[in-house]
Formats: sequence, structure tokens, C-alpha cells
Amino acid sequence: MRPEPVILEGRQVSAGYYGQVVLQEVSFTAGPGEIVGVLGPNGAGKTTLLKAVAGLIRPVGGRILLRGEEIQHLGPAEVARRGLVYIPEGRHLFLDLTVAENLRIGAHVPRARAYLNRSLGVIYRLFPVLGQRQHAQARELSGGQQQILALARGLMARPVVLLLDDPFAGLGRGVADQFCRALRSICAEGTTIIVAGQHVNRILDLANRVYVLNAGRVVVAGPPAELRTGDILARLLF
Amino acid sequence: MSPETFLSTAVAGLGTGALYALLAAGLALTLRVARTVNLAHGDLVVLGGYGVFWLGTVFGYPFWLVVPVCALAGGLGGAVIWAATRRLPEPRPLYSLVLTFGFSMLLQGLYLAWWRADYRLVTGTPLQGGLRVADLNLPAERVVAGTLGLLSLGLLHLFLTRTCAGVILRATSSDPVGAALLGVRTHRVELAAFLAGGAVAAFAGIWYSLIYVLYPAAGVTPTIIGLVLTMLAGQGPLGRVALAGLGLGLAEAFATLLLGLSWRELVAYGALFAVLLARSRPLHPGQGDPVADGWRRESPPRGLLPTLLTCLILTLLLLAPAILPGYIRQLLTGALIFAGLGLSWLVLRWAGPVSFGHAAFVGLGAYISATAVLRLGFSPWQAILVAGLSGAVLAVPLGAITLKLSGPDLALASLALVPLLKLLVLNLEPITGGSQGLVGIPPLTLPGLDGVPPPLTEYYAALAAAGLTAIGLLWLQHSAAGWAIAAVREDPVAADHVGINPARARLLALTVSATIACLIGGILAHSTRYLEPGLAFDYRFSLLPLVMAQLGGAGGPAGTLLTALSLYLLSELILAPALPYTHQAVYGLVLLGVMVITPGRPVVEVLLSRRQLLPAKELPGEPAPIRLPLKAGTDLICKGLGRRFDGLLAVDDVSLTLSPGNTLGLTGPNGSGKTTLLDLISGACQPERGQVTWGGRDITTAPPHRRCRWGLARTFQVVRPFRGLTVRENVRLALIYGGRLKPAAAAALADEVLAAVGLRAQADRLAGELSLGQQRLVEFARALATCPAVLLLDEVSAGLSPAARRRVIGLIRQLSAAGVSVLQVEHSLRVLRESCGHVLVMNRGRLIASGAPDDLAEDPAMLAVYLGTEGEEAS
Repeated sequence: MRPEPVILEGRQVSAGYYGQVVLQEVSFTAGPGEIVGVLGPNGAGKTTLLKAVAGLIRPVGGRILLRGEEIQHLGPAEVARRGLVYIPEGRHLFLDLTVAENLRIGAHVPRARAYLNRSLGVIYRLFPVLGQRQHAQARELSGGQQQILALARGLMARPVVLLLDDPFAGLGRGVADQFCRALRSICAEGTTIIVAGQHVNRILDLANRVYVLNAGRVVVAGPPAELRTGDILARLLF
Repeated sequence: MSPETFLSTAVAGLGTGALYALLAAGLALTLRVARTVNLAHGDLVVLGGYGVFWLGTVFGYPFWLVVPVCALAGGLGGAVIWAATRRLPEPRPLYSLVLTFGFSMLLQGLYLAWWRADYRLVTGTPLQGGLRVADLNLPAERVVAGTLGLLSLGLLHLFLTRTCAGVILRATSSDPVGAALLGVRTHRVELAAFLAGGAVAAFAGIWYSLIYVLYPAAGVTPTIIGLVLTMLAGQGPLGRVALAGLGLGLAEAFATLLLGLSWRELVAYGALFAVLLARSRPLHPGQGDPVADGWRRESPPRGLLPTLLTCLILTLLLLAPAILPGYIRQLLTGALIFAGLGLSWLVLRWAGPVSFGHAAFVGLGAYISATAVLRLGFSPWQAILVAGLSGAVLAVPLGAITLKLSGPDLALASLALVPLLKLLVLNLEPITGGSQGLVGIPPLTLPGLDGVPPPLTEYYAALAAAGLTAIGLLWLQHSAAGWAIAAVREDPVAADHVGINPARARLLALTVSATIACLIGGILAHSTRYLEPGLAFDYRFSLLPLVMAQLGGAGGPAGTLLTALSLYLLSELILAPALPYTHQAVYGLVLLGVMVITPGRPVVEVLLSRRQLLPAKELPGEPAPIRLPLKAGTDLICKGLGRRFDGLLAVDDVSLTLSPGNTLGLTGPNGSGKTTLLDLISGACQPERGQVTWGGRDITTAPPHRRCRWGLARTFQVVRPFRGLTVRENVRLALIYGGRLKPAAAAALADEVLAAVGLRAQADRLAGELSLGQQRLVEFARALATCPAVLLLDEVSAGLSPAARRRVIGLIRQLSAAGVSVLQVEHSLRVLRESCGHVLVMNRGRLIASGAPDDLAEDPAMLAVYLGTEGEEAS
């Protein structure tokens, strides 16, 4: 079988809220097993881009293709069923439910349901803390543990593409390191990861390729090494 | 009380209590999962009861067969409501209230049409009669109902915690967006919740009907019981609903024992008011402001045409008796009573709250007026005035209980008010005549004008009530008080921040509305000459204002007048003669149809809508100087402010001082707590720790409108101009309420403020029609118009054109030179460089750096935040 060169592709995607266009004709690609970083100052459109891809807001223009299929018109549930999992900034955990229940709902999509028990085993091995606290309510977990639960819940869906919005917010160094290791091992198995956020160094370390957004447009794209040498990031921020 | 009586009463109370808990569980399920308060829930309970009555008692089918059929019917009813709610726009809570109220009316109308108003009693089931247990005489049906109720609750609990479907239901109720992101088709989950909720309602109705009699409107009480228990349980587990239910059942059993059976419902209605009084959080957590959100987009049509139309209609009505035959005039009197009522309902609606129980005010006014004449010897006109006064007397405590939150409290309370007053009227027989009613109420006559026949006097009395209300509404549209009311409806938080007290504005609107409705009730009593509960508390008094508002345009008096006249004439000339028992169902259906077809927007507005966005016009140049009567500045000091949300410290031990003439910048990454800090300073929310002082005075808990009058003004990160008001009205409102200027002075200054921000050309446009950048300017101008001593600006330059941004920054400098202190929040240091000499940096709720912008760009703490190495201490 011919390998798929591109898993997720955006062609001139424009999106916004209440008639105000935040994201303007942004194009991007992500290949299998690739980690793509999205950087930019506050309000540049990073979250809007991820929301548009995940189906939470409908783009006003452009096309989004997941494994060649157009998904820009689909709602979040249908996008998730096609293997694209979005872990938003606010995490959206089910705080009243236990850790185990949160994980079980992660495997709700048909493509993951049959693997429920096997996935649970993998998750508990990858993140032992979740195994230890599986009967605790999600709201009882610390911030770092909640972030890990959000990632683990997303992984339960056996995603083809994983979108992460500002995953390092509020994490201590130890947890953030563990988080990065987990992301690397996930993409080593072929999952595509798109990670947006404020933690520039973390994301530059992690990503194979980076898009820098400003005012709703891609201003720079390329491998992290090229970006680090220039001072474009600092100029954008200050 | 003998121990036997005590025990058997307690057992009976616990039995009914468990049943109540079960029916409340159904309501709680739809509320939590589908975020819909199902006001037709009680009518589905009654559906189950009618099922047992017709299939079991009348047709004699075996009981075990009837039970599943009834539950299925209830589930189907729930599914139909679900289908209708699907098209409702976000935010749904308010729309869903109106919609399910329509369903409730439709179901009651259908029961009336099919089965008539007779009381029905289920008999002959194997589960009724006395049950003797160890010398105690227990009511078997209550014991059975209670046992089954608890058993079903237990099963429901197991389903929700142990099964996959149950976990998904709970997950969706906990976080619908999170569930959708994991591939859960939330609309199907909502359907499941409605199916289950309806089935549970009808199932509970089966046992309910073994205890209580059935009639078409019997569903009001179970709905209220369900609401009370759901509110008592909060977001807690089902066990708490069960406990609350048992408590209510016991209270009801003993109250009935002491007061008599006819007072039974008093406990449930009283409990609703008690719960509303006690609770401090809205029914929908995290939904913010359902009522205001819901009606936000509506703004009544304005301008010359609606005014002329209203005047024309009123003039025609004034002259009509001269040419119309007496029969038609009589009809028109009825129509005018409804028109006046619809207009009085509108007075309240313009301030935001929705009433589902204006019949309560009409009935109250009618009975007060009638008893004042018959029992106290007042003259009819005096009695009508007393009736109006009684409306105000009722409105004040009612408003105090229900209007402190801008949620649907008043809607829920008004729903219970009608049966509560009806209950009182029925029980206070020596005064009100009970179910027999009152006869011999004298007609209205004009003293000294014996030649004018009473029907004509009554016609003009009704016309005066309706006409004066219509003229009052027209006046409101063009007065500061009216703009204030519109501002409160559109955005209570923003209104609070320009110096308007939203709770007081709502209370005032309710008082005026109730007074007019009670006056109309008085006129009704004298024109019908007799009164009985069914006439005084007619369902149409509650339902028709909603239909009128939904059909007749977003509250234009002319639209309401026309709809009232045509609806009433249609009803009396065609519907009532042709379909004597069906008209309630028809009205319910009309309201439903309108809500489903054009949800949230009145038909007339949809037909007339031709809204276009205006192209942004660039205005070059420096701002014109403005001479505002600025308030005297003093030190604003924050000490150790702290506030957490959902366990997360949004603001953590922040202290700062703003002195007159200082300009302080504040920046930090997303979610670092900048906006929350502004909220704490402006009063939008209150700190859990720390203190805010203003010139030495502790203002930590003062509401925003008071702080605004003292001199604190703010803008919002997400723009919040009053979109339904013109740009000039936005500014004049702020000058009057926040700046404490006389209306005439405000009118003179408004254009100067607008010229300064560059919006002079847009002054007469509705703020909602402007581009987002211009809306931000409107908000900025509004903040200036409160003549502040302190300006709190939240990303005021976002989305502005470069020219507009220069203007705003020039104005900030100008104000700062005049002694205003400024706290400017921006998401990037770059912007602050232009206006602030000193900048604070926040991260994760704390102040982490401060200094001049150029120094900060090199500050290691600042770099760490933005380049992602901060806070990564080993953990």
C-alpha cells in the first residue's frame, strides 16, 4: 500500500466568531507521525485554528482534509469519529466522573470501543498515577494530573491526529517532561500531533515543523532550528 | 395527636415524598443533560394518570399492561419536546422555558379538548384502599407508590453509575463540549434524556393518579414539585433529590393534617418561594445570564412610523364606539383588556424578566377590587385604585425574592403564583366566595354623567389602561429611564458598570407591570359583574401576552395592540364558537409553532429584518479635546486580592496602588488573571481574600453601579456596548447614570464625547450595527461618559484601526494629564509601550514583574513566561 504523505491538510482556512474573521486563509499540512508546532502571540489565532479543525467552529472559507476527506463541514462528534481528537485548553474533563469513567468515555468512538480494555492497560502503564487514582473523581486530581488525564482520555480514542492546545499551561517541570516523553512515544507509533501554545521552548524542542501565526496569518513556517536562530519570535512577542 | 395518627401520617408523607422524588428525578435528568427546564413535565405526569384512568378504570385493561403503555406515551411526549427544542438557538435556557410552557399549554388544551374539564378519579386498581399493619391504618396506594418510587430511583441510580449509557449521560451533563470532542453525538444523548425524563414522568403519574384526582390543569403542581426538588438538590446526586422529596412529602402530610386537605398544594408553592429566596446561584450553572442572553438580540422597533401607527390605532379606538354596534364594542372591551395586559407584560419584558403568570395579577386585582366594593363599601373607582396598589404591594416582595439574580427565577415563581392565589381564593370562602364566586359587583359609572351607559364607561376605562400604557411605552423608548431598562435587558453586567442598578430597574419594571395588570383586573371585575376563580385566573391572561410578544414584533406597542385586537376577535368570533374546548390547544400550538419556526425572534422582526453592516469609515487626526466634569480622584489601593474559580487560583495575592494621574499597564499570557483582576476592582466579582479601598473607604463588596458613580469606569475584553441602543444613547445613558449629569447637560456633552472618539457620524446608528472595532470605540466612549476618576481598560486597542488606536491612546494621555488614573490591560507589551510608563506583568494569578516596558523586554521572569520555561520547578 502506498504510504499517505499527508494526514491532515488545511487549504486557505478562514474562521472567526460573530462575523469577525480571526483566521485568514491559513494553509498547513501534517504528515504521519509528525509533531507540528503552532506558535504566535496571544490572539494570533492558534486556538481558532484548532477549533476550526476540530469542528467546534465552522470555517467561513477554505477546506480541511483529514486523510483526503473533507471535514470542514462536520461537527465535533463526527470529526472525532474520524480519528481526530482535540484536547482543548480548558481540558473539558468530566469533573464529576471518576478517572476510570473519563477514560471509558474516551473510547466511546466505534474505532476504539473494541480496544477498551487493552487501551486502559496501556494508559495505566504509561501513566501509573491514573491507575492509582482510577476511582477518584476527576476534580480531586491536581492540575498536572488533570492535564495527563485529558491527554490519556484523548489517547483512549486511538486517534490518527491529536490536537493539543496549550498543554503545558500550569504544569511543573517534572510533569511537563513526562508529558513530552509521552507525546514522543505516541507519535513514534504513527499518530500525528499538532501542538499549539505559549511555551515556545518546549514546543520548539518537541516539534518537527513549526508554523508561526500572527494576526490570523502564517508568518513563518519551517523546522524549529531555523526559527531559533532568528529573532522573529521575540519581535512578535514584545 | 395520637401516636397512631402521627405514624400513619408520617408513612403517608414518606410515600408521597418518594413519589415526588421520582417525578423530580425525571425533570432533573432533562435539565442536567439537555439543559432544558421542562415546564410540561407535570403535564406528562398527568398524561400517565389519564392513561391509567381511561385504559384501566374506564376500559378495564389489566393494570400490568397499562403501566408500560403509559410510560411509553410519556417517553414519546418527551421525544416530541426534544424535537421541538432542537432548532432553538444558543443560549437555550430561556427559549426552552417559553417553548415548554407552550407545550404545557398545548397538552392542557388537548386534555381539555379530548377529556373535558371533569375531575377524574382512578378506581378499581388492586393497589388502592386501606392497609392494616400492626394496628396502623395505612393508605395502601401511598405505601405502594412510595416503595415503587424509591425502587425506581435506585434503579435509575444504578443505570446512571453502572452502565455505559448512564456514564455517557452523566458525562454529557457534566461537559457537553468535552463529550462531543470525544465523538459523543450529544443530540442523541439529549433525546435519550428526554425519552427517559418523559417516561419517568408518566410512570410517576400512574401512581400519582392513585392518590390525587385528575383534571386538565393538574400538571402545574407536579411541575412545581419537580422544580422545587431539583433546585433543592442542586447539582448533587439523585440521593439528594430523594431526601428532598421525602422531606417535602412529610411537610405536606403534616400541613394537610393541621390545615385540611384543601391546603395541600400550599406547601409545594411555599417551598418554591422559599427555595428561590434562599438560593444564590442560577438554575443553570455556568450559563451566566440566560434571560438577558436570550432576549439580547431583540430591540423594539423605533422611529416615527411605529409611534404614528400607535397613535392612529388609539385614535380609531377612541372614536370607534360612535359607529360600532354595542355587541362589537363589548367585544372590543375584552380585546382592550387583553391588549392592556399584553402591554403591561411588555413593560416587564423590556427590563428582561419574563412572566408566565400575569393571570395572577389580573386575578388579584379583580378580587381585591370586587371585595373592596362588596365587603368594605368602596366605590368602584376607589376599588380599582386599591387593586392597582395591591399589585405594587405584591410585586415588591416577589421582585425582591426573584429578581436578585437575572436568571429565570421570576418566570418560575410567576408560574406558581397563579395556582397559589387560586388556592387562597378557594380557601378564603367567607371573603372571596370560594368556588361559588362573587356576584353583584357594581358596574362602572361616571359620577355626574348619568347619561353614559356603564358598558361605554368600561370600554373607555379599558382603552385608558391600554392607551396610557402604550403611550408610556413609547415615551420609554425615548427617555433615559427607557434606555436604562433596555441596557439592563441587554447586558445587566455592562449596565451595572455604567451606574445603573439592574436589580432596582427590574423591580421597578415589575412593580409598574403588576400595578397595571391589577388595575386591568379591577376593570375586568366591574365589567363582568361577577367573579369566580376560573374567570379571574384565566390561563389566557398568562399565555396571550407571550403569544402577542412573539407574534407582534419585538415589543412595539403598535404590534402588541394589533395582535391583541386580532387574536381576541379571532378567538371570540371564530375559535370559541367553532371549537369551544379547543382554543387553549390552538393558542399553545401557535406559540409553539412560532417558537419553532422563528425561535427567539418575533415574526414581525424576522419579516422586516434588513440589517446590514456599515463599512468602517476612517477618521484621521488627533482627538478633539473634551471637557468632562470628571470626578475627583483619589488613591485606589488593592491589598492581597485573591479569587479562585473551580479550584484554580485566578488571582493570587495581588496588591497594587493607582494614584490620580497614573497610567499603569498590565500584561501577561492568556489566562493569567488580568481580566479577573479588573473584575475584582470594578466589582463584577468579589474577592475571597484581600481588600479594595478607594480614598481610604473599603469598597471590596460594593456593587459595580455604586463604584461607577464614585468614579470607577471600565471597558470589557469582549465588547459589550448596548447593541439595541443608538451610539448616542449609549453615551447619554452613561453621562446621566454614571456621570450623574442632568439629561439636558448630558445631551449637550454626548456629541462632544462622540466627536472625541471619532464616532460623530455614527451617532444615530444602533451600536449593534457597527463593526467590532467601532463597537469597541462605543464602549470606550461610554466609559469616558461616566466622567471617571479611574479608567479600567481591558484590551481597548484590540481590533482597532491604526488611526482609531492613535486616537484612543491620545485620549488616554489627555485624561491622564487631567488627573484620571488608568489601568490598561493589553495582551502584549508592544501596545503598552505607547501609552504606559510603568507596566505590571501577571502570570498564573500573580504579579511576577514590573518596570518600564523597555526594561521588561529583557526581564528574565518575563522572558521565562513567554518562552516557556517559567514555573517548571520540580514537582
